[in-house]
Amino acid sequence: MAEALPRRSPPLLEVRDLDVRYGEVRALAGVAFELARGETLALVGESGSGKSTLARTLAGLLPARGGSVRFDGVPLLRLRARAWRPLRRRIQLVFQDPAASLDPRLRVGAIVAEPLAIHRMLPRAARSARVAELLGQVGLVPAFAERWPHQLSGGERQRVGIARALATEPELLLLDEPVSSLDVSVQAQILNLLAELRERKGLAYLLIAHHLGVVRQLADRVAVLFAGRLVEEAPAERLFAAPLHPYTRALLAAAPRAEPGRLPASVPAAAGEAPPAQGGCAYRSRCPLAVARCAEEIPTRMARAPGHAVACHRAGEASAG
Amino acid sequence: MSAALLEVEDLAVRFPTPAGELRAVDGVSFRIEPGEALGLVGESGCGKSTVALALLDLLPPPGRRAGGRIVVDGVDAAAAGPAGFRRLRGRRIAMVFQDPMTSLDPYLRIGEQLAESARLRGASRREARARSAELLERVGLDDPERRLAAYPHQLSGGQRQRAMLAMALLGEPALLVADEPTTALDVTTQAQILGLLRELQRERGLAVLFITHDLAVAAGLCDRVAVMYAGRLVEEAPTAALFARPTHPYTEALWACSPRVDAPRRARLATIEGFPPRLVAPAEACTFAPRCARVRAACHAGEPPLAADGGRRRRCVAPEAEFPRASGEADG
Repeated sequence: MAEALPRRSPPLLEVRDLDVRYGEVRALAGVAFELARGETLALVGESGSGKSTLARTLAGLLPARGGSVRFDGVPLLRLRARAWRPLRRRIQLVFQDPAASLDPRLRVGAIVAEPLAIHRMLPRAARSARVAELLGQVGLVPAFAERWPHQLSGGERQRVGIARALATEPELLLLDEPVSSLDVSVQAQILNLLAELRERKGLAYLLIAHHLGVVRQLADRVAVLFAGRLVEEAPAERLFAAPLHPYTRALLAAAPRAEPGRLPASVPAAAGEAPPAQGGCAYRSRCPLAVARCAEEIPTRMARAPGHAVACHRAGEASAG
Repeated sequence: MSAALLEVEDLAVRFPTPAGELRAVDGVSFRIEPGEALGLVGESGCGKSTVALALLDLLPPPGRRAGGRIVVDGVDAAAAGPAGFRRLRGRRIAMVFQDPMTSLDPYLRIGEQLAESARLRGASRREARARSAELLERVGLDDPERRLAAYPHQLSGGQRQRAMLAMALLGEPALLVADEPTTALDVTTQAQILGLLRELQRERGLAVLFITHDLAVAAGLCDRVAVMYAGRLVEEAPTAALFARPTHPYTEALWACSPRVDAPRRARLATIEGFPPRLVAPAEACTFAPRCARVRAACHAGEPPLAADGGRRRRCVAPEAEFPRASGEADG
């Protein structure tokens, strides 16, 4: 039933009814969305909501139980490893912790050149010029190619991680918490760099971030995950201005806002830690608007405005309060 | 002046390194009144956590306190002697950390760990158990009996942080030092823990030294906010005043580069270029000058003092009037 929203141009990424399980635990259920070229979609939700599972499934690191994922029209989920390779160069990952994701035994130049070697993209002789060019694109001088990861600051390491991801000229970057381990001032530099690269190269981003300020700064659209389901999706400015799902509202209300003396609103604690019940809306035990129907029927996703869809029996009422 | 619960004067902490003694904390002074929440804000390496560890005598060797006075309830650490001061501090100050797993023993049930803390304070076995259950309930853990029997890994991050708070409260401290206690938590859980801290503060008159990298989080909880850079305090003010008009260029820049949930996307976030200095010699100029947007000749003449003006202290030679007010962008 989860229908994606109508769009103008054929999407770069098209996800339908995606179902992923860890044993008997359903990590993702009926997830559907589209991502256009050059667009940034942010996935938000608490830990355990399925955001990282989704990114890892799209990267081919986790198998899906059901549904479909198309990248530029090509179905990905049932591809064999060999068929993955040409696509993988078009989809690259940037990780949260640049210290852990860079091989400490390789110099920066070798790290950035590695994808070129794996994908046999350039003759060896041409690689060092390409590495210098890639370092330049992320704001590092060519001399960085000679350094070791441990000689770099956190921000420099994340720039190297981005340069490595750009090496194969991808069209889609999966950004998994790309700035959450960085200091505030460095975080701003990396966010500016990501915005600049997107502009210059027409990159699409799938952004996973728990800091809603980061999401608001970078995302064009936002999808909210709760207990493995997409509960709301909207253009970013609309979502922050007029969220409809009670969970989205609780999430936004909980974000610190620098209002002196005023704490962010907190939702009731205990009920939130109960496992999602079978049938019905998984959010109902925390939801202030829950009614009997919420225990009986899983809400389907309905468009409420152009580009704005929500899965909630009470979404109309939610907009009042 | 009313009696401060905690007075820190001219605190200095040194770490020997091959390049010389690293001046991790230098000339840090502040006070906390009973029941008050002071935020200590800065980026990694600025010395904010080192200040907390020095207060509790938990500095990792070879780090050492190289100077300054710490006064608790009017009793000077130096005068009380090491053992006397440790007793006083143990009675009055408790600490919680960012990751409760580092301070909880993974092989002991929550109840055993709480009981041990309680028994150290002279409670009988029965009292310890009753008191533990009562505190777990107070910090918002449902079914306390079941939680007492749980091992730390059986709790979620938020539940572990609640258990840590319960353990900290066992000694009925007057001051809670909380080092990034919500940083590892989901935003909804963070809001709950902040709410809990505020309740405890109000109901028990608990003072809080809240250490964080996030100005927005400090704004909500704290009565006053102190900002640290390169081992020193650069600005301190009542929270409302600080956010209405940050008057140190570092505070101003830190706030300008923070992505905000309550403001639309900006074309570019402000940035702070360069890196903080690693100080092995006394500063001969303002330590922020190399990165400062408001730098001038006077900044290189010597390190500006932390000058008090009304309720505010700031370490900057630029006149306060130069700094725009946060709301009226017109005067910026």
